[in-house]
Amino acid sequence: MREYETVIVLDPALDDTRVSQEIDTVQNVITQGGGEVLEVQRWGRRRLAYEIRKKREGIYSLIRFKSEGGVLDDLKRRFLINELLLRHLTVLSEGPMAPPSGEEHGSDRRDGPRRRDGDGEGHGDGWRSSRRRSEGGEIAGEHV
Amino acid sequence: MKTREPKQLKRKVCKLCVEKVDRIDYKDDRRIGRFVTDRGKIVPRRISGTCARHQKQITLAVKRARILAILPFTSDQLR
Repeated sequence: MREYETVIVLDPALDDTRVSQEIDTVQNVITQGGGEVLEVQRWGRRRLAYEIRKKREGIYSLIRFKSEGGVLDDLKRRFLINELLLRHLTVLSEGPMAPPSGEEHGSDRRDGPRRRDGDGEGHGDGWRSSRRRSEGGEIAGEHV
Repeated sequence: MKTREPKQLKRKVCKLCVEKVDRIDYKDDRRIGRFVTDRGKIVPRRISGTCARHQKQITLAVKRARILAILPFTSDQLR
């Protein structure tokens, strides 16, 4: 038994009940395979960093669980069949982790002063709304 | 002849070591986003000054985040 975590990105057209259904199916697969679900996080709608099947948003959820490795094969098989699923990723879990900040909701400001994108408004179209420093490969890591 | 300026002897310190980060998560887009250029490339160690350990963690995290469309593979994909 090891701890894993799976993130699934669902079609943004789904409503809450459908999303819950999808999550439930995943949970069932895990429990039926002798695993145990430890945690379910629903991150909700997030903008995708790139278009997937003409969609720019996705509904993200994370499921942390404990199981034998065989369950992963089963999960993956189902994921690949499921057309409502835009992306999925299963990795070994490194323990509980807070869900991501939710990208452009501007509730940032955790550690110290940081120069981020100038426009505080979170409406961005896409990843890092303003593309300030065009081309040329200037580095983002420099200012922190 | 112009006299060459003395080489800058500013020592780069790994920011993540300074912050005492022990693991970098692919879900933490705020943190990882800082180590990616505007074009979506991973910033090389020689520029960001990160230590080997953290650079490896960054790389892994960025690659995972890309799969989930948390980070872009390239910036051309959207515009």
